[in-house]
Amino acid sequence: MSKVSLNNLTKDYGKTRALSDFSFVSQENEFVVVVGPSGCGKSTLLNLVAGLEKPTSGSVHVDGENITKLQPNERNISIVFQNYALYPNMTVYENLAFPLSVRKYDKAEIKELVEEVAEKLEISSYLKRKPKTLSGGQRQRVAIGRAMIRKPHVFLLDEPLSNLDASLREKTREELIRLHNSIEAVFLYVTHDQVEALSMADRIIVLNEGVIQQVGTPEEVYYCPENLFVAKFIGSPKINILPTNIYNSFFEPINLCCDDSLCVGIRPENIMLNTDNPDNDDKNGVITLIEMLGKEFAVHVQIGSYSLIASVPAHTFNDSFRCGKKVQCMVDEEKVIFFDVESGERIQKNSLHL
Amino acid sequence: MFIERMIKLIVVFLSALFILYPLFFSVVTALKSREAYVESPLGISLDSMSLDNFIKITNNFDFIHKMGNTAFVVITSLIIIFAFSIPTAFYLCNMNNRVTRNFLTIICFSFMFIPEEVLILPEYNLMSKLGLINNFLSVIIIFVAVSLPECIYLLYMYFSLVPNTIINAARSDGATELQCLKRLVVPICKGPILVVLFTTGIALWNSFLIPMLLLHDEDKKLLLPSLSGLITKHSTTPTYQMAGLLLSMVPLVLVYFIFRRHIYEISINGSMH
Ligand SMILES: Nc1ncnc2c1ncn2[C@@H]1O[C@H](COP(=O)(O)OP(=O)(O)OP(=O)(O)O)[C@@H](O)[C@H]1O
Ligand SMILES: [Mg+2]
Repeated sequence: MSKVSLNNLTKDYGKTRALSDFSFVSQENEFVVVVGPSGCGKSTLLNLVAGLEKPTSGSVHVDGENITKLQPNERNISIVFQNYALYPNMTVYENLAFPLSVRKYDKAEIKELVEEVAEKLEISSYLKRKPKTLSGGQRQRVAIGRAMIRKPHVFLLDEPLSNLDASLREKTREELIRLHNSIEAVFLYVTHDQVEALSMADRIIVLNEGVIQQVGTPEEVYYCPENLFVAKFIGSPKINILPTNIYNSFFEPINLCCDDSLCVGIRPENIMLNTDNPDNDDKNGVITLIEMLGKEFAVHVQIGSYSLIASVPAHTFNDSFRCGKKVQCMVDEEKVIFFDVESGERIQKNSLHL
Repeated sequence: MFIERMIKLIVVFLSALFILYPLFFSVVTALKSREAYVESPLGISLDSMSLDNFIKITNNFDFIHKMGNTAFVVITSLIIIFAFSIPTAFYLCNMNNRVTRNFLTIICFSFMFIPEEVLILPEYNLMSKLGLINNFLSVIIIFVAVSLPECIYLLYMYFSLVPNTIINAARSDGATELQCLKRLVVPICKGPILVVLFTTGIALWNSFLIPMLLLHDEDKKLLLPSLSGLITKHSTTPTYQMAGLLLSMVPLVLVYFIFRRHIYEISINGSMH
């Protein structure tokens, strides 16, 4: 059972603030995914938790103990680096054994643990090889193995799947989830891929420019984004953001009196397109592009000066969807999200006096 | 194409000539009798060549003993130098305070430019005050002092090529700084360390002025100063000495061939994406 709490962590590199007032308390053995665009401070956060960088201010607690001042080797924290960082002078066996041998475990015990981990990760046949003879995916599994061989309280993973091809990524994703279920540790998993975040996380932390944007379950972050940044960052194809006047003139008008301080967000899957109604109504949009995404089609529709994306499930897609075709857009009003244009914050619907 | 190849060939040929000429001259001289040398220093005549000089010098001159002295002094110095410079260089690499780090490296760097000769008089005075004249310790102390800055600087440059994440990975795997050094930095930088060790060793082995001034007892003399002593004692022709000089190079060449394989090894291949 482990628990991490981060209190007001701030990190400055000279004048740039990489992380700003980061506070978070994890549940026991939670799988937390930190997601955000490149350069938003994700690696910085992991370095602070691992003790590889000293915070400018703030503190790190694990299981109630303040470890801010401890050296990295005094913390029971494992980290898988963005670029693996295997030890080039050692064989795979020695790489896996390193965390144990520096702790002076005896040889027989090391052998047993290494073999157990190697078996789990299916790298038993490479134990005698040097990292330079391994493929990217094999290296990555060695890096994970090295991190899991001693039972850490906290498991830090920095974009561990970013260098893998799609099928290996999916497989490793499953392996990591299984690993999380089998050991008692808090996982802090960093990625810039929102699909990964949604599919793996117990809770997601969305980070932008060093500031927390939202903390929540995948459902909360997806369906109730707290601001425009989160709404745009999470979800693919991207959410549609429209000014209220465009919304009112192309969808069923809501009584918003064309409030200029608001904009509306609609997820692509919540837009329904009606192609049966080809009368020359000026409420109709025009299909400009159709993308096949597998189980769904992303249909781009031009409405006024705006282009919006609707996703059409493959089973309802038919020949009537063609470029240049006029369509009527409809939306379930319940699923429309409102944002304040100035601040980007989400506005609760019941405070809108619709 | 052709011209390019010709230029390459000429360059290679000239450099070979520059390198081989002194060696050739030494070998030819060492194989000659004194009379043949006086007659024509550069001439080569096969019938007058013999190994006499080599035999004479090993018989008449306490060659092995002198070489032993040199080996003892050089090896002891190297051990001390590396015991200090490797940890210091690693410490410099990990120093967070950039101002202090740059200050220290610049100090090391600038020491590389102080000519040995400038320091000789103060060094001699110091050693005689300490009563260390005719004591190997005096030479060892000075050898260490003279070589340390350069070794620290060079090793610092090489160590900083080891990616920081590798060291950080070891730290979060639970390794102490000493373990990082012993199990990662030193093995990864084995090649460069051997090169620095080797060049420093050669410089010390061939060092002449300092041991000559500080060690006078015949019994304590190092190889090179005593070889140069031969020129006044026996004659003004260098045939005899050249033989000695060539023999004094033998251990260096041997050591080189033993470590040659490892010298080229520096590879962080495969550790990073
Ligand atoms: N050692 C450093 N010195 C100065 N600035 C740094 C340093 N490390 C990171 N930064 C800056 O801090 C910010 C956050 O960097 P960080 O590496 O945490 O980003 P990231 O979210 O991990 O990005 P990516 O997804 O590309 O890995 C960046 O603007 C970066 O330039
Ligand atoms: Mg990063």
